[in-house]
Amino acid sequence: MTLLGPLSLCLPLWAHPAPVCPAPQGRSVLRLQPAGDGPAQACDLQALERLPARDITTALPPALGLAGEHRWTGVPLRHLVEQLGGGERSRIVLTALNDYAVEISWSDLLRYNPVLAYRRDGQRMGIRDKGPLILIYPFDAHPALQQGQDYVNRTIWQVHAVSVR
Amino acid sequence: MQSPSAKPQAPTTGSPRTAYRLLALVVAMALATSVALWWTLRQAQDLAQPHQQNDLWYIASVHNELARVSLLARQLRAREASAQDLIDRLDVLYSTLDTTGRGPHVSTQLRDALPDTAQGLDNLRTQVEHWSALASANANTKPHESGSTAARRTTATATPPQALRVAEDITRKSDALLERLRQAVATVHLFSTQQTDQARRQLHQRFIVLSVVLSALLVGTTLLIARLVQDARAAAAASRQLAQTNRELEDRVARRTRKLEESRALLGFILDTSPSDVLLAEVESGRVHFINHRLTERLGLPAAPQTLFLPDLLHDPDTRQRFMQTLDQYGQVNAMEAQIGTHAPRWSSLSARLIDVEGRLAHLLWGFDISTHKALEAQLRELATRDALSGLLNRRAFMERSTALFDHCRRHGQPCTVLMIDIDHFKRINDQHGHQMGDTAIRACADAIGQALREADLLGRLGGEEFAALLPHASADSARQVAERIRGAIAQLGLVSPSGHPVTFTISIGMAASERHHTGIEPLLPDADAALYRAKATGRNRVLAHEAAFPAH
Repeated sequence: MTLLGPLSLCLPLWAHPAPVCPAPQGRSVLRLQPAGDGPAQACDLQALERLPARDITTALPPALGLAGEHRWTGVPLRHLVEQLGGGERSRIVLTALNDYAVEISWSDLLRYNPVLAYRRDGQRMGIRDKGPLILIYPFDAHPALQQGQDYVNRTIWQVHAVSVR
Repeated sequence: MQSPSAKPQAPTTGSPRTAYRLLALVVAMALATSVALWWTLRQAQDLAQPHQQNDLWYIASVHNELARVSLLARQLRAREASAQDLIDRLDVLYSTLDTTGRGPHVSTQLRDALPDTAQGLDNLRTQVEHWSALASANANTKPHESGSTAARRTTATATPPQALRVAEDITRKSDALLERLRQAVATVHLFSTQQTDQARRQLHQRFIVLSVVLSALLVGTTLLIARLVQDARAAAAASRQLAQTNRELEDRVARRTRKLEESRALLGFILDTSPSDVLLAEVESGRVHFINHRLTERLGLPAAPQTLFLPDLLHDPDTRQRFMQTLDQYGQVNAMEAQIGTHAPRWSSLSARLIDVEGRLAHLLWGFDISTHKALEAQLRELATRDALSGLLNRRAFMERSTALFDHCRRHGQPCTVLMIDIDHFKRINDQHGHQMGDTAIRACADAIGQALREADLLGRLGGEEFAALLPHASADSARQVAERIRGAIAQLGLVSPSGHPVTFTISIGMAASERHHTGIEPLLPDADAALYRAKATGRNRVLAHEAAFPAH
């Protein structure tokens, strides 16, 4: 901090990462906490849909209770984290509406590129349907993900905050 | 135990009953292992997928969310929160209560084990749905729900009465509901711990069973290993015993072979040093099984030959034919005299047998050298035919041979002539000069006559001072010339007696020539004798022929 303190004085104002989303027009569904001590940002679904998107078609483990194969559309979490100034050494924490929170490792993002999905089979998801945002790993493409409880736990739904520290 | 491999250890290890017991043990082990394996596989299959025991989390979440909704309702009444916030939280609470997406585990377990709690939760869900529907209907009718920031900011002030009524209802009921949920949390906690403990006990029990099976397996394996070791030891012992027996057998065979070889060598030595010739050779191939040194030397060979055919040994073709014929016909030949060898044949007395050697016909030949015997025999025969004093043929031999010679002449139609020669007044020589002088005279006379005759002529001393000669192919005239030559030679002998006196004597000769009617020599000799008698009677020292009287000089 002794090094970063004086250094930050020299940095121009745009040294803070640019906002990932424009100011929300509708109801905010996601709160983004960028790296460093920048202010939290809010995103609505329209803004998220304008970000780069990726489709993952997969079935989820039975323990998650979402049977059948679905096409999930959403923002790659890695893109969001990078936009928030996060990287290899960052601590990435996703929090759900019911305060359930998980930490996602950077290596997961590199290896599996999970998406923060806002559409299931092209349809938006309500809160009662575990929406509006749910983190989806490509389970079908990586059988290793299906072994154990780890990725069942990391498949967090009703996500409403992403924090990078 | 019926297996052949088990035979050697049968005396050392147990009876068939032991084997059956072991077999039963192995079968039991296999069965137990199969059951344990089947059960383990089933467990493994169950454990392949994670399943969450999340009843406690579920009930606690419901409590938390209800508490939040309750708090939010109070804030709404105090105009510190928006109706939309309340709707969202009610949705979260509803989704928390909704067990349809959580799989069968949660709802059914709770419903079966804790029906009261499940009923309470069902009631709560209905209540929440009711609240949510009321609040949403209210929100949907709101004019500024299009979502501008300004509108949202004024939500608190513009909170519709419906939402406020819902919030009031929530505030009124939530404390009791929360109290009931707290009790439910405790109940579910107790239930969960009991479930866990039950699962633990079940697992414990199963592991005990598994341990028993494994222990049985261990015991069985140990028994089998012990049995294997025992068998291996027995096999090793049997193997050692076998090796020992084998060695002893080999020793015995070696001893016997040595003995056989020794006796064979001894036999060979005996046969080699025996004075007889021994040969054992195959009939067809001529392969020599045995030949002794003596025969090898006799045949003039540098070493024992590899092949030799018995017929080739026999020198004379006639003898060979006779010998082989007898051997083939009777299988044996006993003491046949024959000459063996090709270059310098020697007389042997041969015995032979036709025998079977290693499945093949072979000739066994024994031979004794009789060449010395044969020489002696020839010598004896010579002695029997010669007169010891003169060395001429004696009377008997002369008669035999002259008969043969006469026959020969007669067969060829040739004349032959007999001379009878006698020393005149031989008695007087003996009387005057002694018998030794008489013998000398006879020897000298024999020599002189012999020199006067041809090679083909036959001369013999018939007895005393009488000689006879047969001249083949000789006419009376030529014979007379020979006789005269003899008479002349005798007259000029010029012998000297031991006392130094000169000794002279004459001979008389009677001649008889063969005629056509003579069938043998027998009539010829008396004719010649008669002529000799006449010569003696007419003054001696003369030659007279039979019948035709030759006048003397």
